[in-house]
Amino acid sequence: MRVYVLSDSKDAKRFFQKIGRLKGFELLFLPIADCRKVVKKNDKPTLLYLDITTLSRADRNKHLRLLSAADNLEFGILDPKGTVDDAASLIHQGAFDYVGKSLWKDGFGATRFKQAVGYTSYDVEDGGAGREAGAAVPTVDDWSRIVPGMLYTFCFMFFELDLDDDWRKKSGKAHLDRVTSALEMHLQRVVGPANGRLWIWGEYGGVILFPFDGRSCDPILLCYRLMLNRTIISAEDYHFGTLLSYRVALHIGTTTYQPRGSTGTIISDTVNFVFHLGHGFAERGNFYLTSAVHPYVPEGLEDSFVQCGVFEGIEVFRMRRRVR
Amino acid sequence: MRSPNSLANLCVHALAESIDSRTMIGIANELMPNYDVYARTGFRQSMVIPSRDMAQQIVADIVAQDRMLDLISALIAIQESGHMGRTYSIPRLRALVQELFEQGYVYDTENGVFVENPQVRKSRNWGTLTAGREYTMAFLRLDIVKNSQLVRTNSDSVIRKAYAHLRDLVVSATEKRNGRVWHWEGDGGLCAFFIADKHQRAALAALEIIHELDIYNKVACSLSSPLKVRIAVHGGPCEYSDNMETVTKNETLKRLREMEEDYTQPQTVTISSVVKVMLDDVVSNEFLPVNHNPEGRYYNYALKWEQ
Repeated sequence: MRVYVLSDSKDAKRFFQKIGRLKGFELLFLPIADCRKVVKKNDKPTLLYLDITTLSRADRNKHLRLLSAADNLEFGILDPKGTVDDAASLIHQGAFDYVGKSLWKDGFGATRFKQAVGYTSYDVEDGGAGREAGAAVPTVDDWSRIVPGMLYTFCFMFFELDLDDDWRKKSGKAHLDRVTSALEMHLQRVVGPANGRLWIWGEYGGVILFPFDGRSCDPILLCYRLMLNRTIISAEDYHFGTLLSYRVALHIGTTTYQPRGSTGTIISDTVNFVFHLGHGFAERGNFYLTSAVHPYVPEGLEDSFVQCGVFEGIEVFRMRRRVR
Repeated sequence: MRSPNSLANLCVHALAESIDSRTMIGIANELMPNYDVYARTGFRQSMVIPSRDMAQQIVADIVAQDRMLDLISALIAIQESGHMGRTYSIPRLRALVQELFEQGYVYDTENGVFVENPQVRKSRNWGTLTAGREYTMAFLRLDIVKNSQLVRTNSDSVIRKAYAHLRDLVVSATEKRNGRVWHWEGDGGLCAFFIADKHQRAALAALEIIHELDIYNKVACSLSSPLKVRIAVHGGPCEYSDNMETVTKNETLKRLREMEEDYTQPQTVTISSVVKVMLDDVVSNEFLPVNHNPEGRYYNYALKWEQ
């Protein structure tokens, strides 16, 4: 289930840090100004926390009216400065949760969050998931436990070489074949040790699947290295005498699993989103990750990613670029 | 290396069946200066030594002097380029190469020598360098920045862990490119590269060390300040020795030291123009001229990020 956090405070991420690691919940951080947009576009069961710190009393009431009238949406209130005298009145206006000053200071644990979600119409244990089939989505870290036809949570890695049309037209088939085969061999070698498998694959890229256990997300460092070592990879793994450029994007979501080559019948929001993100949003030579992945960025590496916008309602981060 | 009888027999056949006596004596003299095949065989100078007898004696003496790899390398060179203007087709050469491969040696076309197959064993001299002989090599020198300060301000266990990590990282980046860590002390080390594309291998190992250390400093380093290194890469002639003191007196290594100490900023790599011209464009373009260096001899790589 998507959990939107509408706040202009940098502390919001810290506060929700533990929640981001709960299976079945996908955290999305947006500015308060996007509230109307979220409500308008929302068509799935969603939780939303609104930070009222910077809102005037009139604005606060306006937002509460908007949220309580929204379909498929349950909302909670964040009040880090404890400005609300009568918290119960917020519940009366439709809120399912209230985070006051002291709770804000202590941080939000999984138990407290699940208790609050228990007051909504959503099922706590499956994270309200059911985005694909309305069933709980298991997280596994082992391919041997993944059965074709079943729904699982995966980390999806989009990878594609940035090739100019002109270059493609001018290159002979034999050369293009060498490029595609070198690409596939290289990626197999890189993602294999991290438990990744090339899945929906085209000539110059596609989607790689990593089983996701809800605890950590190893593909982040793997992709970070792919970007960092572009020169080394171009010289040692491809041997074409040119500096390769590629786009990479990571997202965590669910899909029914089918083996490579038998994926034609899969209908999945997540898979569509990942391809849209890679083809429609990602720019040449960059690495992106979504807000579903961001909470798993290893400590110390957070500063290497910058917010770069919202795509199809999901916040996206970009790895800082190398400069000379 | 241990030369089995099968290898010696193959060599005798290869020599006797394809190379005339005069050329055989020439090859033997190149490998064993002042070699006198008549004295060794007991034949008088006025007599013609049968090819097979001569080949057997030369191969026996080559084996005794542990120069079998050099003899087979010489045969490959003769097959490819001829000898004294004459071409030769040497039989059983493929079988000889195969035999050596099974013993853990592969042929390095750039240097024209057999070296250890790194998947079989990794010794300091690649199984082929001989003490006292000069070779063209590439070197990577690494030094930990402010080592004494780090040692003073961190506990022993934290320092040990961080330095062990760095060493593993250097060994991995070097050995995966068939280089060798020749020397490692508390505050840095020296790595040597000899096989084909040695300059590029050394430069790429240096980049990988800088990159991996950047990740380590961000996500795993427990030191009170980041672990930083200065790396220099240079290439040139060097007389091989098992003794590091002898090696470091070499001019190539003296210049390498100067590059690292005087022209390299923390967390950067400096290469010499000798190395730069040997790199592929993809790699070479990463290095920019170092300011204030005499005659523009040095180039530098630094990992910088957008703000």
